[in-house]
Amino acid sequence: MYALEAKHLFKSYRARGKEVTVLQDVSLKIGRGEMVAVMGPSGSGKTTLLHNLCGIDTPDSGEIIVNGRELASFSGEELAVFRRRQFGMVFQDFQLLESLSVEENILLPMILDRRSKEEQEQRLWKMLALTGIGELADRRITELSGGQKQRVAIARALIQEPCLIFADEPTGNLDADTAENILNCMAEMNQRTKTSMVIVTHDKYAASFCHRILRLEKGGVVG
Amino acid sequence: MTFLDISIKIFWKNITRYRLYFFCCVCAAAVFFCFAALFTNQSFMEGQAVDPMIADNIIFPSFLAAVFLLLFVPYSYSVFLFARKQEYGILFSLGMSRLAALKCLFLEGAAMGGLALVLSFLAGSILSLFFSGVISRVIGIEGLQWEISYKAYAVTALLYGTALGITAVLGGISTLGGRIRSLLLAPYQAEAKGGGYHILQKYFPGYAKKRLVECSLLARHRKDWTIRYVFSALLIGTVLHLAGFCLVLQSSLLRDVENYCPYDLAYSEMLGKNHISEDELRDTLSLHGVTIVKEKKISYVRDAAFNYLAVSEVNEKLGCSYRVLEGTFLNLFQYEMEDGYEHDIQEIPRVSLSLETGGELKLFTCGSDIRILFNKGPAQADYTLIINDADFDRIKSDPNYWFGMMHLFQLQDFKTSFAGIKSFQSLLQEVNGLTVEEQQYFRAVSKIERLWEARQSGQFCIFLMFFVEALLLMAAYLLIHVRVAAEREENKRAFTSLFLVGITDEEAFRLCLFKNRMRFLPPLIAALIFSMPLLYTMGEGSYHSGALGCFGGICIDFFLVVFTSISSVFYSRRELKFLKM
Repeated sequence: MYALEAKHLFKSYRARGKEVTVLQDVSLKIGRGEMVAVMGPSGSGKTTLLHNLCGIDTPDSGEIIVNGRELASFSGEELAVFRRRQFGMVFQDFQLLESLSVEENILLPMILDRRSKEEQEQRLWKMLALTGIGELADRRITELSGGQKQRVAIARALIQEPCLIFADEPTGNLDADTAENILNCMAEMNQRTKTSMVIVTHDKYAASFCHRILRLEKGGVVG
Repeated sequence: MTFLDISIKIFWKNITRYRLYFFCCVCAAAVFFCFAALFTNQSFMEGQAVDPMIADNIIFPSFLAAVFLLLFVPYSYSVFLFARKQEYGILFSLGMSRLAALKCLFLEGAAMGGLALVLSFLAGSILSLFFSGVISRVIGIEGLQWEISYKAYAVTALLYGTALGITAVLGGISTLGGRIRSLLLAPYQAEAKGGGYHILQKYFPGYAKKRLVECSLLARHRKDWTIRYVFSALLIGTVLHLAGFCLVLQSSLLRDVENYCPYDLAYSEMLGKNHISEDELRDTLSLHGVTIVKEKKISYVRDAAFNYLAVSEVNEKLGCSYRVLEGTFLNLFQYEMEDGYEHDIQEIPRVSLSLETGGELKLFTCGSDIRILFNKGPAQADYTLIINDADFDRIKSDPNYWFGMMHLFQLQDFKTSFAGIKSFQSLLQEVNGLTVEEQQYFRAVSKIERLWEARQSGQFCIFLMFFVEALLLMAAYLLIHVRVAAEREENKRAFTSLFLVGITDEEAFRLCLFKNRMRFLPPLIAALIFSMPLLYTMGEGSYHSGALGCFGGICIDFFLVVFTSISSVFYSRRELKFLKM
């Protein structure tokens, strides 16, 4: 069984009165523990595909199957719970809550899942150590650099030990050295935790860290 | 760490962003509470201690304050939620369910609403005491006893609760109904360049080029700024309208006194009451330096609906030339038709007067006249009919009707007669041996008292409207300020670039000042332009004081323009500090 399987996905939007097709018959499979890069030029539908795969957007037609279960079969409430337990998200602009500390941001998915304090403590220190930000736990988000923020986002994505991590241009806002650090960190996480990863990027170097590259063009998979 | 801990932390962090709106909501509720404390105050509203002409002024400002509260609370909360869209997007993307978010929103709304209500009750109670002090000591309205009934709390809580209910529904729909993707991207949804900038570029390319940097700071977020300009112009326009209207009303009230009080003092002798000798009256008035220069006496008969006056007496003493034949009557409408009120001048076609001596006296109309012949007093009926002397003689001795004598006086200087009139009112009460309430039906009426009441009524109206206007202005400025504050990060980047290319501090300040004046001043100018024709039409149509209303509106707008221009200097200096950080 694959970690994720998408079959014949179609998605279109209305922009300025015109129907624009963003995804056109996209099918793909992501194996367990596999790290896959999704590449393509701007406007090719990479981010839309990612948002559909992780369930924060829904395709017009097609199926998305995660661990043998189809996402469309979930109710809104079930999907939210499923996402918080099975998926981790990393965004280009980090999407951290500035009103919370580093520790609180990392723990958010566990807090939403009402996990016990002991479990939270145990996983927190493990994640802080894994991502190398142990000394930043009490800091405020506004006090961190871009690279540190992205490490917090990765720790947050991993804290629930999900089966899949979706990353949208995770190094897009970072300098070359920091980007390499982050990519190394993600590859290491992938190896250690055997978590499958789908990384959207337009950077060939970033893609070189992945096991496989999916190329997207004009809303369709070309390779 | 629990979900509640996190929710509380996020809530408190956000409330600092919301503090200005929160403050405005509390002010709106506090002002409404003060009005409620007045319109639920029995001593104020029941017309015995305070003239209804004054007390009724509370109704319109209360209505405006209520409408403001009902609209502003949901609006301000929607702004609060909009600022948090991305936050909810993040929480949803991490797997927060919509139901959990809804619960969270309701709890936050309830906590904030409860806090705002308690604060508004506290602030409102203090403000209400201040109201009472100003009303009785500055404006001089006697008879108001300060008290806050539970009804004032209940009405305010009900209104605020309704506003919160609307808020909860709208907030729930707008935030929780949004797609996660749109919520996450909410802060980045920048818009096309401003329409004003396009017009400048197209029609004044030279100016646009010369002021390129200044214009670049204004050429953003067209849709949002257009909405804000329109709404703040509407709010300021309403303020100008209300201010102008208060002036028109004040002048109209004073003019009404002149029209409706042809005599400086009048009272009716009837049912054995107000029986006082001329010497007693003169002595009482002269003690306060008041001299009577002319006196007239008119006899009349009244029943529950009409005053009946004999035509020959009216012609002789009041300088008229009516002709009323036996069996007929003339409808006398004592109105000034252009006083701004609607008057019923429907002629009564006939009246049947049943007489104790037997039989019925049937009278038919012979016409009507609109003219103010004497001051209306509480001892007279609402309508007046002028009848033939023979008919008058038949009813004047009939026990079914009350015979009375109107005493009308002109004083040497009515403006200095206040103390004398008050003393005379006390004398009447003493002579009649009645309680204060009973004496109300036999009170004398005087021009000076009416003038005082008119002044008090006008001042009371201006005082109440001041608070409504302050609320509206606060909302208008807040609308602009919040958007300026939201653009600070963008402007910071722009100013950093400008500093890098060598702009001086003084030039940066001038840029900032230009930007802020262009944000705050256009609604003031637009408001003046659109509200003046309306104000003139309304003032001229009903009260013939359109020019006065416009003058008031222009003065207020001029003051606001000057205030805004000056305060934007300080505002810009403060903003520049942040932009340079």
